[in-house]
Amino acid sequence: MANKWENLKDRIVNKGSRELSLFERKWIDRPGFWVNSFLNNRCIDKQEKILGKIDGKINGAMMSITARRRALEIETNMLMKMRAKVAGDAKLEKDIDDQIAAKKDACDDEIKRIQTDQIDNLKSERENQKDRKNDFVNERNRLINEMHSKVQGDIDNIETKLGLSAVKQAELAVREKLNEKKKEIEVLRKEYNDLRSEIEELKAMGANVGSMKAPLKLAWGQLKDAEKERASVERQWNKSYDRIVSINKKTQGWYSLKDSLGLVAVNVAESSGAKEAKEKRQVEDMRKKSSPEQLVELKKIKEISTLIESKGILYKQEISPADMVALKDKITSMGFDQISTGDIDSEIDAKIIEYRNKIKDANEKRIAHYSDDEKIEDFKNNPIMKKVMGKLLEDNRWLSPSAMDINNEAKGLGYILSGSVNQWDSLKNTALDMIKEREKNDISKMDEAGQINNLKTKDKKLFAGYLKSNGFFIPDGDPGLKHFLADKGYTKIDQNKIATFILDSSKNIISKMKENVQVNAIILSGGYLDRLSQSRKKFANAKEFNNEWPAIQAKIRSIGFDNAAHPITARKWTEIENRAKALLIG
Amino acid sequence: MINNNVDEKLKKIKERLDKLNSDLKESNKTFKKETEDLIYNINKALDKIEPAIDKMDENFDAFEEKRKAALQKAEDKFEAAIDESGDAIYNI
Repeated sequence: MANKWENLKDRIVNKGSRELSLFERKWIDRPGFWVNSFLNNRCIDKQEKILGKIDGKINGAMMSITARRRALEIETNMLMKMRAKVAGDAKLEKDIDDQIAAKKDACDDEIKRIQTDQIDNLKSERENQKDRKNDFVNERNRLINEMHSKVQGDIDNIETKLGLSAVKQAELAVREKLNEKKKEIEVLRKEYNDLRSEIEELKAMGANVGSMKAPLKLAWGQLKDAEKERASVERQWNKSYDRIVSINKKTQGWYSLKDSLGLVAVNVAESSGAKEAKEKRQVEDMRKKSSPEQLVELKKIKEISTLIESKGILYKQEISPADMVALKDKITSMGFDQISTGDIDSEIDAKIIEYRNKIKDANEKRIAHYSDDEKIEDFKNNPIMKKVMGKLLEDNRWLSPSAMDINNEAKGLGYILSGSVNQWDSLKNTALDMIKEREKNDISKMDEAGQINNLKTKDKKLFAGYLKSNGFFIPDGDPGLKHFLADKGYTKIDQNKIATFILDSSKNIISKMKENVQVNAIILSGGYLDRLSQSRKKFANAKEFNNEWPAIQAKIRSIGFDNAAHPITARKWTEIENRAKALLIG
Repeated sequence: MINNNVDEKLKKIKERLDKLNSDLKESNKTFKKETEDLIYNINKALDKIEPAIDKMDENFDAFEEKRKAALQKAEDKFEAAIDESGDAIYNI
């Protein structure tokens, strides 16, 4: 790895960045690194050294002056001592005074020469060099500002003129509308179910609920229309959302570039004294933070994470052998072939775990600030979660995937909700909606033959689900079941075929159910009687009813009840008969 | 008495059903159009933004070349200045 980076550095320093890939150029050869590193390290640093040398020479000259003065002081002191010894000898005293004066003059001349020839010249050169350094700094600032203005301009153009900011606002509005609509449909559906139950209860008590049939049917149709429209809009929205995600990925690099340039641009605006020192420190810090090693590493993490995510195996405890081979090939091809000459497998395994944890942490941080509703929405659009749902579907666990499975997957992806049961239920329901939507889309693409074949494969689960959700309702041609199947995407099968198929299949299902469960004959026959009361004209009186009663009993027996294993007792027959009379005699 | 009670319940159910149908009608009338309008406007903006971002990438290369030339010029100037500075120091 070290050699690889050395080569890359050589290429940058010796040949510029033209040989590098676009990615490398954008991220490694950005002004935050390249301009500063070149100008700071090569030019400005050299210039600083030159200034340091000049200052050294000035200091040297100043020290020469000090030393010269000190030497003069010592010589003068020695001469003064000699003068004291010859006190009274006027001629010798004068000679010594002349020597002292001559030495002082010579010292003054030398100091003046040093001051003029060396210090003044050095100070003048220092000013020149300082100006030159400022030229370097200004040129660097100009290049950075030019780049910053360019990128800022491009981003402003996209955000303001072309409306990316508005798109982000509108994105939130669409999300909100879809969420609101979903909640609204849930409320209306609950009201529909409540009303239907209440009507059935009244009917069971003998009330004439015929006038409720049409508005109930109308509500059902409108409810289905609302759900279809929401699903249709959501499909459209998902396509647009994918485009927005793609744009966000593309702009991410530009925003980072703008930010780093902005930091430098702000720093270089502070140009003197302590501010200049601060700038240098900050720029240096920034350069360190965005060191090419880190950027190269970042790129690899990104590629590996994309690979792991694309396989949908990020949080799986076990990775399939095929996925592991693909991952290892990819990781090896990314330059980790030299990380170990010995046990490369364990090195790569460790790397995968390391990256997986990094990605997981990043994902958790990303999601942490969402509200619970936003987490659910994000969860719904999560590509990994879609894969997980797809897997559950393939495993035929779609009717009742374990809530625990889904919760674990969601937690693994970082969707740690507030923990309330309602939120987890909502998450599970969201997951189920995703599975059902996928199933529905798959089925609706089939032709009639394909749908019938698929129905044959799925019928047990479909009918079991329907019966369960409708209290063991007997679906012989029941319109509710037709709606149920249409809702699952079985829209291309002829209604007559579907009615026959449903009847045959439901008998088998009921028969199978009877082997396993103690069926409540009252509920079952009640369901049959309910439909019978809706489908035929009522009996005029008890006598007319009594004539038909054996046939009704036979029908109830024919759909699988009253056999040796589960006989309907005489008391139950009486209850059924009483209910039938209440329902069927008009 | 019982019949009156049932009738009253049925009346209330009918009122709720009517309200349900009315709410559904109102909801279905506005939702699709409003949301589709928003999505249409988003798509329209995205149609302009996507090529602009691609263009940014392309322009970046051209701009980069220009910046490189400026950098090279600065480098030549600075190197010469540094040599001069070196000479100046030795000559002092």
